[in-house]
Amino acid sequence: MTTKKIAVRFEKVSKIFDKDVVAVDNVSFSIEAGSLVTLLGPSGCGKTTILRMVAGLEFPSKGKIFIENEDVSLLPATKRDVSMVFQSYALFPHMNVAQNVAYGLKASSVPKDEIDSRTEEVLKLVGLTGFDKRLPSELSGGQQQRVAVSRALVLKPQVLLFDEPLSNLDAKLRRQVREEIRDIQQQLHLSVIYVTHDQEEALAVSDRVIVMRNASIAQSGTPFELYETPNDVFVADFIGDANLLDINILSIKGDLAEISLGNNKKLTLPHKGLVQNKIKLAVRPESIFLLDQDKDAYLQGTVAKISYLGSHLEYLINTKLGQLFVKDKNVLRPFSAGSDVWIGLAKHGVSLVSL
Amino acid sequence: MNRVVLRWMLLGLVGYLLLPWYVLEDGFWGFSWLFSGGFIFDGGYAPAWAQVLFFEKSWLAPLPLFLLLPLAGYKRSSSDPIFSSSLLIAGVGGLGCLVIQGLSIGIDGWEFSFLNDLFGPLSIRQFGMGYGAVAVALPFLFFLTQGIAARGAIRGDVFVVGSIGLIMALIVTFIFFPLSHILVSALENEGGIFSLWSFFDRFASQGIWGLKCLYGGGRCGVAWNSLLLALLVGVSTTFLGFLFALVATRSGFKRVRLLKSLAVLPIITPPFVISLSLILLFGLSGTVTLFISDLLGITPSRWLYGLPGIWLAQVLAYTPIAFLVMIGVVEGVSPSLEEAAMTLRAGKWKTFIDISFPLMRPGLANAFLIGFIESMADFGNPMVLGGNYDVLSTEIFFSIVGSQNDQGRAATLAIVLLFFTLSAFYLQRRWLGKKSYVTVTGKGDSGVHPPLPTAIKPIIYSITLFWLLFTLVVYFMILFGSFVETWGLDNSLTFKHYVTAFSAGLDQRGIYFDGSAWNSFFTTISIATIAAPLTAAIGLLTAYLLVRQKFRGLAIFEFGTMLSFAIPGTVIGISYILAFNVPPIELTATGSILVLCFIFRNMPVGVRAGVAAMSQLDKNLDEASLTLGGNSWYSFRNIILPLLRPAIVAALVYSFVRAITAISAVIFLVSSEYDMATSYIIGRVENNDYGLAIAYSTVLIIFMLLAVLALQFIVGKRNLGRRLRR
Ligand SMILES: Nc1ncnc2c1ncn2[C@@H]1O[C@H](COP(=O)(O)OP(=O)(O)O)[C@@H](O)[C@H]1O
Ligand SMILES: [Mg+2]
Repeated sequence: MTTKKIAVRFEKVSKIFDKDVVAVDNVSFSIEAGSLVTLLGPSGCGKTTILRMVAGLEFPSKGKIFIENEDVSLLPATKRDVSMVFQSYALFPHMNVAQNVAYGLKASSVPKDEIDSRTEEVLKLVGLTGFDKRLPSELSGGQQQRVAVSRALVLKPQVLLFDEPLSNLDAKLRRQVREEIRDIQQQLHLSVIYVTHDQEEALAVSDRVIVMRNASIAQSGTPFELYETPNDVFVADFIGDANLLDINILSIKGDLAEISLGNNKKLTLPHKGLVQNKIKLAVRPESIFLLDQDKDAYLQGTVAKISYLGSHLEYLINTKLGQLFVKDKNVLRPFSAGSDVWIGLAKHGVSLVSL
Repeated sequence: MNRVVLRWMLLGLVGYLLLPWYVLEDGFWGFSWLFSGGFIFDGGYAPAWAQVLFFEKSWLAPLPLFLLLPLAGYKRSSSDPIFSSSLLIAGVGGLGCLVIQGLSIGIDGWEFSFLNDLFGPLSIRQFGMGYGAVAVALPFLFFLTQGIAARGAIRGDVFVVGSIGLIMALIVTFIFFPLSHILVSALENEGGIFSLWSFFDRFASQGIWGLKCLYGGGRCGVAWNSLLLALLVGVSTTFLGFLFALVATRSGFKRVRLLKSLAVLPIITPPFVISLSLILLFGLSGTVTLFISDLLGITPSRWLYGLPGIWLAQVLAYTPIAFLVMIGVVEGVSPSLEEAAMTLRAGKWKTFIDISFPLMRPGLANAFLIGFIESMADFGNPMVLGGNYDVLSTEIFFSIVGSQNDQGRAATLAIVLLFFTLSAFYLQRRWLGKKSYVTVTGKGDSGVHPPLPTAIKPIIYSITLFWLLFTLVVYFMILFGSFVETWGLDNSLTFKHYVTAFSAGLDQRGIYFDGSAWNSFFTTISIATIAAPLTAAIGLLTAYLLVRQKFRGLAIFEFGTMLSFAIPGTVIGISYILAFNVPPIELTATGSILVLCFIFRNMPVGVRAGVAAMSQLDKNLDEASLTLGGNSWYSFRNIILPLLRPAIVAALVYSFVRAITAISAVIFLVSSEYDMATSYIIGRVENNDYGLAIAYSTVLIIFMLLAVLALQFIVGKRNLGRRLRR
């Protein structure tokens, strides 16, 4: 397989504000051209700051940034071939849709005819034909969002940045718009960095996800890798609300460890070089079966709480390893609160993670 | 090396080779040199190179070297160290050369005696810098900033670094440089020799700090007089402003907007007008005085002329300002806090004492300090009503214009005055700089303020109502007085004063203006019209830098720009004549000095308007523009300026209006050719020509009222009081 071109590369980049606020701490990653990579993490972990450094709105305090193998660490935003869709959209309120979209072309002195044709083309792409004379204040939230996207797209940038682009939209629209963004990205083979704090959104649109915690990278990988094999409790918890259980390692054979949850039924999983006392078992809520007998069970518990959510049921189960959060598809025959249940585990969605 | 550098270089070369180097005798707009043919061979008109060759000004010889030095970076990229170094050296060297020669060689040869000792006497003299010098100085400044930007400062942004450099250069030249002259003058003795002793001698004089009035006989020093007055005025205006604010917010009073719009009065009133009106009421032949003496048989006295009169005038003038400050504070106390206290079974009175009042305390301090500074700095009212009660601002004026002409004394007094106002300014900033615990929670705080405790309601109502009526009477007197023949003696109505001041007509030669006021009126309008856009431009640019850019020294930068709030006009006035009477910058008796004075005195108005408006602009807007490939200058023009239009109009109108009402600095700077309306009126007052003075003031007030109304019409009903919330 040929190595793909690298669109953006961070080399040990740190950003320190006001002498002591470390917003980004020694971060390295690279992003392949034509892929959509998501920065995912709780608010305040430095995602926006990374994005702004790619755009050239902030300069790194330490380390280097490359765009298509050119060192741009000290190149100001104006001179970078990078466009950004802001969380607030930042549409220019005194310009109409067409003027907003044409702004970047005008700033780089593109001839008038070309400006017009490219503006028209990109508005057609996002489905806003005929809206070109409207002011941003005369558009709905979703339409404003499209204007922001087309304003960035029209410059055909090397890298396109999205900072939580869906956070101002209502829940219904979010799913639709994120699919549109993904479609356009695939269609035009754009290199995109996409920031969000919503794990579902990240899993849905990304080629790769970079999970961040406290200014540094916790783990990166494809959505599948992150969901199935999180490295540590933070990633396991942040993506998919895993149950984290204390367990004992009984023995180690090669890459596999044999563990127990307290009774005599054993479980064998890759140990990834982790050691006892610094380890937990991460179990996805939907990877837990509730059984009414102790055959194949790893644990016993009692139902503490039950809620009906239409598509599934959610249980809180008290066990001697703590409270478990369970999603169960079987809505027709629910366990009642207070009843005893036995816990079984699925083949996937169960992994060892470090503390 | 880029085209912009070349263009600046070209300007510098034009300045060096073609333009007259020194300031022209016939003024800034004099162009006779252009037509005098051999201007090169005339020492007054010659450009720099000819000055070097024919007039022995050898110190101008090195300048072209620095002008051409950036050529060393020709065809190099801006990240090349040679490019940035050549610019830095050219900028620092060129500016250094200009400043050093300008400061050390003046009209009488060497300016400093040690240079005389070092190099022997110098017989060649030089005058102030002119077109040529300015055209050479600007490129040097640009080289310097471009060099700094090329070194990576502020993301290498040439526009931003250049703007910072320009504003700093202007502040240093037109605020710090003149102020430093006050220090120098204060430290020199009569012979112009540096002497600490003569400073202490003057500083410690009885005239300034004497306390004779306390233990019988004689008068107290002016410093004590000013201090006492300012304290009284600060306390009184704060108290009244507070009461008005309470009435406006906590009494179910519906006309808050009307009350607020009254606060526009002090902005459009020349400062001494209140005094004039008080004279009509309480002067020797004032209406009230005559009425009371008829009624009670008390002989009229001159009680108005002195502390009581100035105090009354200033309290009338500045209470609206205190009201505007206080209403923000009183409204700012979150009603839910008060409601919470009430639900905890605290009575109205207890809630007010325990909750509301403590939360308003910082605002009270702020209002007090503003009143204090305004009173200290006021010149017009003490000038008209001072009598034997001398205060610092008028004393400075009299020690320099009168027969005394004692620069040292004027400078010393200015330092004392500056000390007071800067201390107050410092206290105010410290107080406001600390985290304020006044809570403006904005949304979701839908409670209502509890009404005033019933016990104090009648007292507050009667005081505020009385003061409101009094203020209205005072303003009415101004209007009425302008139509009265001679106040108190001949009360027949007449248009005489308006005719004398503003008569105009039409004859075969066209329109003529033969009223005595036209000259100063036109000068005032044209100077204010020139100054206003410049003030707004510099103010808004400064606001942009303060709000949108981060750089080392930002705090100092902000301090420098806000400083002129705290510098009394009198101090600015005296510093300008001390500094700009002699080379290297000769401006006295020109229109330019008035324009410059207005720009730098009113700059904080523009800065405030800009900061307030710009903080409401989402920062992402200009960042979006940057990421779309517009550089900072392009973004400033296409995004920020259009969105700031209301702030621009406001800054324009206010600097225009303030330029018209200003008196304290202006009175030092006017000349027979450039007389201003306010100083003309003061002159009339000194000649006891009250009718004309009042008529002229009325015209000014109406004129400015129209300007402000036009502004309101254009901008909508934006907060007119913004400039007052410092
Ligand atoms: N301009 C700034 N000055 C000081 N601190 C900042 C600045 N920008 C961001 N920070 C701090 O850096 C950290 C990361 O911020 P940000 O990148 O916005 O997080 P996220 O986008 O992940 O929510 C936060 O603690 C924030 O307070
Ligand atoms: Mg963010």
